[in-house]
Amino acid sequence: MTEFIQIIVNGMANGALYALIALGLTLIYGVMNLSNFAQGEFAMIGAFGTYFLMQMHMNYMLAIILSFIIAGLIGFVIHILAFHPLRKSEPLNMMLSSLGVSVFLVNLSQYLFSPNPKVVSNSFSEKSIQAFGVFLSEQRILIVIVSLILCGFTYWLLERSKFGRSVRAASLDPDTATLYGIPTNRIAFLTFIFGVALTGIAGGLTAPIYNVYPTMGISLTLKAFVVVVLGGMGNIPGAIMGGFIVGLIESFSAGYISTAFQDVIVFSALFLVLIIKPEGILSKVQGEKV
Amino acid sequence: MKRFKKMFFMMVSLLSVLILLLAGCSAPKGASESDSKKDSSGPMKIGLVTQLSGGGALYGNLMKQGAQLAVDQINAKGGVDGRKLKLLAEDDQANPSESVKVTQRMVSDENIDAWIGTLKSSDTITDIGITAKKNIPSFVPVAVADNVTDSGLNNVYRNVAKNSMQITEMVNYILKEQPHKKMAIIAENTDYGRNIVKIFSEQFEKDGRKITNKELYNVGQKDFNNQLTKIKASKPDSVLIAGLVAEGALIAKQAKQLGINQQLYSFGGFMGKQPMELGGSAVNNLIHTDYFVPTAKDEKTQSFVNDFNKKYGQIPDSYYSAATYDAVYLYADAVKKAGTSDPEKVNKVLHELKDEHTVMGDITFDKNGQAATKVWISQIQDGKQVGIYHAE
Repeated sequence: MTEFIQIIVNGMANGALYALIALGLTLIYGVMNLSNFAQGEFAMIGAFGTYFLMQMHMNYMLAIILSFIIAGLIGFVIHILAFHPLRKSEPLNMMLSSLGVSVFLVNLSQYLFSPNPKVVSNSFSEKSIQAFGVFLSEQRILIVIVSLILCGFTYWLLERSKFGRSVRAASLDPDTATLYGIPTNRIAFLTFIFGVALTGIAGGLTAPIYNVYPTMGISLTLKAFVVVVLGGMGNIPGAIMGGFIVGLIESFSAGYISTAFQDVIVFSALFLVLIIKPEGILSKVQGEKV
Repeated sequence: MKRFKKMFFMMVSLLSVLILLLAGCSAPKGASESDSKKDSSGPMKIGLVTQLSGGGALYGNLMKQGAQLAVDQINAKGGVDGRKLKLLAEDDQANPSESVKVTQRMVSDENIDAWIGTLKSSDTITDIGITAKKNIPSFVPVAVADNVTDSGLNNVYRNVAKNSMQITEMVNYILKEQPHKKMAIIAENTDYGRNIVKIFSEQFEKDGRKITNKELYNVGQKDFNNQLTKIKASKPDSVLIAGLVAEGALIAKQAKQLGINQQLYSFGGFMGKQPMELGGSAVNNLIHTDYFVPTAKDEKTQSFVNDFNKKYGQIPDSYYSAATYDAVYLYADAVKKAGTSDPEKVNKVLHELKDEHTVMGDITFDKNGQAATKVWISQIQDGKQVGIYHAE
């Protein structure tokens, strides 16, 4: 029984992280129609930002908030250089460009910071709380809390705010939205920056448990794609739900089938969804994308 | 919907192209047959091929420092039979195709007399295929995969214990000195990890002793809670980490956070300073195999440690420098005994060595060129590596 609850707790904790990264990815897809293969690299940027700020004796929470801004700023530059010039061409070109960005950022940070992992330790990272034999580290609790807040905030932003209405209009029909006076280019810009900044925070949050190194983002990008496809490309509630579902599939398949096959099972679930319900499992609940 | 399908197929095809690109980096064809006369009056050239830039450069440079120290000492004493030694160290970026290229250049352009390398077993295997064509005595001081000395080459000498030896030593140590009856293994899903699982289980599971878990993870994985939750549920007496330090340190940390406080064991990946830097207090008390202990009460070891410290201002804390230092001496002594640098004769002398006393232990090469050197059992105690045991 303890093991069962621990498995659920593990799955939810990882799921919260996946949801946060997938959120940025799905947001960007929704507005820019861009499958951003460089998404995970922004987690790496956020993690390195947090590491260097903490080397300067900054408080961890403050460093995380600044890593949001750092990832956003770098996102701004990258958008101008790599995506904005391609906005009118085929989606494939932008996707290829994002792959290039990914390789560029990984290699640049390997050159600047060396491939060796760096350790971030804060006051939570070594401690766990315990109840009935079930353990959860304080850092993971922090991840769950921040992720839920940011997911809620993003949902609110899109559904209730004026900015959100413009984003939804731009993603549904950019041409008509432009005719109605919505600055679609600026909306695309802001969405991209916000999307990668969210992932930057995720990087800062994972730094104390996973260490910081240049290639850390690659596996996160892959997981985020699974989550986004599962929840429906461009579907915000889908990405949040999808994150938790992937986390739970992973922990249950590891716990009751085999740890060696956990990735196999996660990706098999992806294939099943693509065959049976390619528009994503949550498409009925929320038909409209972003 | 249509657009989505299109996107998906594009993504899949793009990914497959990437995989093909990665897989396509293959090694160039073997040695060319150019032959040029060896200069038998100039210095003897020892080629060292290892990683001198990028991630593993730290270890590659330790190898280079060890070799340079030995070369300088030998030259200071007048060289070998009146000829000086010259070390040619080149960077292979731990990249198989680069490694082959560098080795090939050393063999055909530089006419090296002996070869030493590399950091990685897979690169070493392809490189010794090239040196074997000219029978150049080739030393493998660092790479430990079993199959390096399984290829039946007559010119390859490994003066460090191979992987299966360290596994056996670990089992022997636990059986002799520790009370554990139930052990769990968490292993990386590679040849290295799976081999440890296989050999360790075979040797440990006797007289009622049991391996409770054999959990696998992928290299580069960061989260081990799922594996560790399973291990915790089966309540083992201790946990063996069959992986390298990047993942191993995270495993130790996450185990503590899940309330696993059992004794941890691991292998050579936990040598040196890195485990403490990456694992902090979580790796304290971890017991692992080691190839070199700088505090060992052995005359040869102490004079090596002193000389190294004098030259480079630091204590050599892992085997990279020591084993490469030994390799240069093994070659120089063999040339002295053979009275020539002719590869045939030097190889003959090396195969006939018996209990040659070196820093790494007493060296006798078997017919595959493998020596049974010392394997230490070390423990991390308050941020320091301490040698606690080695079989006599």
